[in-house]
This record gives sequence, structure tokens and C-alpha cells, in this order.
Amino acid sequence: MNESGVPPSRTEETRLQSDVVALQQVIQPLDLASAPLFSEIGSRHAAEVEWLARLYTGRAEVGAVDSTLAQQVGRVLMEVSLGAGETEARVARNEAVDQFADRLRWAFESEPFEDGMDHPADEVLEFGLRSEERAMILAWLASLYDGAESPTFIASVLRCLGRHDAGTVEWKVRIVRMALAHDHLEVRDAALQAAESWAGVEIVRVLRAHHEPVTWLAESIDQVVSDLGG
Amino acid sequence: MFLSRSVTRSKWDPRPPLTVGQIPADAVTADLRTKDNTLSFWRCRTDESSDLRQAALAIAAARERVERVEIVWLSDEEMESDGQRLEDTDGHTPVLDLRGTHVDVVGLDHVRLGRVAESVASALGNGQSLRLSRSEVLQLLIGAVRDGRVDAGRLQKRVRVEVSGAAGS
Repeated sequence: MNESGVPPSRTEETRLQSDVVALQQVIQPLDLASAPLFSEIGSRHAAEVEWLARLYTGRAEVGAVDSTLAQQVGRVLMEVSLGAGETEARVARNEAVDQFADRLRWAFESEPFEDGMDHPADEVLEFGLRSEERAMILAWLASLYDGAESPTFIASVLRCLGRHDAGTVEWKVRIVRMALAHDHLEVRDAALQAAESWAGVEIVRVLRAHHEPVTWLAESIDQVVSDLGG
Repeated sequence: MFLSRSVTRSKWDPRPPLTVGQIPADAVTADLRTKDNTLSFWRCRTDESSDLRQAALAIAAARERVERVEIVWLSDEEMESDGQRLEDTDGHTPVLDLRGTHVDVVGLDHVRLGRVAESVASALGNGQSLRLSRSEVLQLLIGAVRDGRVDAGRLQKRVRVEVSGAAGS
């Protein structure tokens, strides 16, 4: 839909697509200094802003977007939508994700996660993953590995996440791969636990490709690979 | 005799600013949570895998979800010589023949709890831990039900459903 609420014509669609391609080219080496360009395009074409938003949240959901990129794109889109005067819905969505993150933090701070036992965070995750903000939440969950969050929090989220049917196979693979590449042992161990629960040939492939330096965890990975039919 | 307890081994790995030999407080607060100043353990006759697996079974059968089990084991003699008081109590597990293998370390204050933490850290450093994967835990539970050691109806719902499903397949 364009600004007047009329579906875009074929010419408009072609232009829209070329704008998105242009945007993507700008996004690839993404630099927040590009924000003015986004704002300008965004204010001219509200429709492609929406399209881009859907494109990126959709790609984030299937794990096709780098987590840092997804996070930055989220911020840029926010600026674009602010510029285009479409603020309310998007602000509400971001607030919902912030609230979700806060509830999750509170849940883990109030009670340590224990293997095999239900945890208040299970409910928070389940509710969030069923909500309208699911795509944004999945993108946020994929952005945890940028260094801003504590390893203990990331590990707790992962161990809990493994209990839920979150995202697509590609998204899960991406999460496991990023977590296995983490510096902290606790995060890598949690990645194994999530992988063990999610299972699947793609997950096994990621586990097999990982070179774990800590002997006991490496042995544990081998055991899980064997369990999962690898 | 040995005393075993569920832990998350990776939590005991000291990361900066902690250095080797220091015990992460997160590990203590997560893995050594006391209740009424007591800490729950399961006795194992030996440190052979088959005995340790019995402790793992007692723990796994009492849980709400089938997930991996990781235990650490300590010498009960060393615990007692370290001034810890042990009290045999009935364990909360649906595995009837293992209930009598439960023991509480009682009368813990922060100093005594600190000593337990040191024993656990030392044991982990010596390789005194056993991890059973999710799949191994499931097989252990299925075996216990099949052998009549556990009434499946006493398992928590999610565990019961998974055990029944896997046993039937």
C-alpha cells in the first residue's frame, strides 16, 4: 500500500523493489550514519519501509540475517518509521520486546534455572513466542550474542529456549552456531543443551563442525551427536 | 561410600575477573541451594558408573522434564572428617528402592557451605562428575519403568508422556 492507501502499481512495485535492493546495498556494510538516507527514502515511500520491515523480520526469523545487522536494521527502521510519521505501532512493538526481555531477566534473577525443572521463564518465553511480536522477539533472541548481555543470562535463555519450539530450523541452527562460537564455556554448554533438545540433521551438522577446546564438553558433544544419529 | 548431587559443571568454570582456583559465586548460589540449611545428596556404594547412574536415576525420575543429568560425587568420609553432619532421610523420588539412599548434609552455615563448595570444585577438578545426555536419561527412565522400579504413574506428566512414547516406539 502506498501513502494514499492504494496498492502499488506494477511500476511502483518495480521501483519499490529497486529501492529495497538499493537499501540492502546500503545495509550490507551497515553503518548507522546511513540513517538519514533511510529516513529520506522512508519518508518518500512508506510502503517499502513496511516491506523492508517485513523482509528483515522475516529473514531474521529464518536466521538469514546476521544478528547485529538485524538489530541495527531494527533501529534504522525505527528512525525511518519515525520520519514517516508511523510511530505508534512500531514504538509499541519495540516496547513489547523490551518488556519481554525485562520479564525474562527478572525471571532468571528471581530463580536460577535448573535442569529438568519448570522455570518461570518457560512461561515468559512461551507467551512471547505466541505473541504478535514473535518475529521481533526471535530477532532479539538472535541478537544476544553481540557481547552486550552476560554469559550467564545468555546461557539461561538458551537452556530454557531449548524446551520450546522456537523459530525455524534455520533460526535454531544459527542460534546454536553463534552460541557454540561464544567465548564462555557456559554459553557453549547451553548451546549443546538446546541443540540436544531441538535435534535434527542440520543441528547435528553444526555440532560436528564445532571444534570444542574443553575436553569434557567435546566428549559431551560427541555423545549428543551419537544420540542424535550423527 | 560416595555422595552425589546434581550440578551444572560449566557454571564452576571461573571466568575473568575470577582466576583458576576461585569458585564462582553463581555456581554456589545455583547448584548448592540449601533448604532449611540442608543440602540434598544421594549415596552411591562405589564411584563405578553403574552405581552413579542409580543416583542419576533417582534425580531424573523426580524431575518435571526429561533433560540431561550431571552429577558430582564426593567421599562421605572426607565430608564427615571435614566436619559436615550427614543425616539419612527419605528421598523424594518415584524410584522406591532408591529412596533409602538419600542423605542430607545438615546444619549448614555459610562457612560449612563454603567447604561443601570447595569439595565440589575440587571433585570437578579431579574429574569426579558424570553427565548423562538427554537420550541416556530417557533410556535410564524407560529401563526403570520396564523393570518395575518406577510406577510410570508417579512420574511428572511431561516425563511420563515422553517415557511412555519412547518406550512404545
